[in-house]
Amino acid sequence: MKEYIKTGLILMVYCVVAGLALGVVYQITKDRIAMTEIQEKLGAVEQVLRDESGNYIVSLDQLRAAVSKVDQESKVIFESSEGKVYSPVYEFDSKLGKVYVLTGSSLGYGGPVTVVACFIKKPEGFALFSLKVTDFSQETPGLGAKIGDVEIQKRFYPMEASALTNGIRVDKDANLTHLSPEEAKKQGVAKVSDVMTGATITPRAVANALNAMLRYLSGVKR
Amino acid sequence: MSRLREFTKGFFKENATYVQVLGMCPTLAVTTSATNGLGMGLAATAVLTMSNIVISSIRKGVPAKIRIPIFITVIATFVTIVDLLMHAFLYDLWKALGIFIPLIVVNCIIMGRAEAYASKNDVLNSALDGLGVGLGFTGSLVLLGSIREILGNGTIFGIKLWNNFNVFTMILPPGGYMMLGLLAALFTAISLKRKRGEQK
Repeated sequence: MKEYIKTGLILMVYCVVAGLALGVVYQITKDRIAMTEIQEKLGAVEQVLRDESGNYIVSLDQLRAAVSKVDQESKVIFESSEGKVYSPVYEFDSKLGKVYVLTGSSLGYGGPVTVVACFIKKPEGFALFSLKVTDFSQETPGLGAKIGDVEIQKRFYPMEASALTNGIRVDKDANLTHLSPEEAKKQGVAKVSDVMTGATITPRAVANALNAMLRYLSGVKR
Repeated sequence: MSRLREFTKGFFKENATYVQVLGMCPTLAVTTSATNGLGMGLAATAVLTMSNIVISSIRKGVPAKIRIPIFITVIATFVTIVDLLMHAFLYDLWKALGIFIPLIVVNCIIMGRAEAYASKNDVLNSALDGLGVGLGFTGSLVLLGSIREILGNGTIFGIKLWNNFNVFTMILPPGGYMMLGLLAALFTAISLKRKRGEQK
C-alpha cells in the first residue's frame, strides 16, 4: 500500500511540473495565437470585399467598425448536410446593396475545406461577389491543393443571384463540362474540370460550403 | 570521437526511417511536400532532443515501475509546447501538418530513444543522440518529400521546376510506399556494401 502511494506521489510531482511548464508556455503564446487567427480571418474578409480593380466595395472604416463590434470567437451557427457556417457573420451597407461576409466549410478529400465568401443581397436572392479558400491544408498537393490558386477560385465568382436559385455545382456534377467558365457561371456552375483534373472532391467541397452559406442567408437574412 | 559518433550514428548507420523502419505513419503522411517533411522533422527533432535531455537528467529519480508513464508525460509536455509555439509563430506550417504534430507523442522513435538510450546515458550524450537521430529523421523526410514533390508536382519547396511532367501517383499514398521502399532498399544496399568493405 505504502509503495503504491509513493509511486502515485512521484507520478503526481512529474505531472504537476509538466502542467506548470505548459501553463507558462500557454500564457506566453495565447495572445499571439489569438492575434494570428484574427489576422488570418480579417485578411480574408478584406480580400473578398475587393472588386476586380482592387477597390473595396465597403469602406475600411466600416469594416473596422464591424470587426470591433462582433465577438471574434468562431462557433458553428448553421449546419446542413452540405457544410457548416461559422460566426461571426459581417454585414455591411454598400452602394451595391446589403453585403454579407461569411465563413463556411465542407469536407474535402483529407479534411475540412474552409471558405470566406462575400454575398450581395438582391431582390431575386443572393449574388456571390467574391470568395477566398482559406484552409485547404489537408488536400493533396498538386491535386486538390490547387484550389489555393486565385485563378481557379475565380472560376466560382462572380455569380448572379438568378444563377444561384438551385445552389452552386461544379461542372462535372452538373454534366456541363463543355461550357466555358463564363457561360458556366451564368448557370450557377463552376467550371473546374479543365484546371483540376482528377480532383473533383475539393472544388465540390467549396461548392458545398457556398451552398451551406446560401441556405443560411436564405433562412436568416431574407 | 565517441561523442561525434553518438551524434552522427542517426544520420545513416542507425537511420530511424530507412534502417530501423520506425515512425512510418508521419513519414508516409506528411511527405507529400519537402516543406512538410522539413517542418515535421524539425518539430520531432526539437521534441526528441529536449525529451532526451530531461529524461537523462531525471533517470536516477524515476522508479523502474513507472518509467514509461513518466517518459510519456515528458514527451507529451514537449510536444504540446512545440504545438503551441508553432501555432503562434509558424501558423501556415502548423495548419499544414495538422494532426501529425500532436501525434509526435506516440512516435516510436522518440519513445524508443528515451527507453533505449536517454534513460541509461548521461545528459550530453543523450542530447547528441536525440539531435543526431532527429536530424537523420528530418533528412529522411526531406529526401522522401522532395522526390515525391518533384515527380508528383514538378516543384521543390514550392518552387516550380517544370510544367509538363507530373506523376500524380507520387503524391498519393501508393507513390509514398513505392518511394519509401526504393529508398529503404538503397540504404540497405549501401549499408551491406560498407559492411563487406569493413570485413575485407
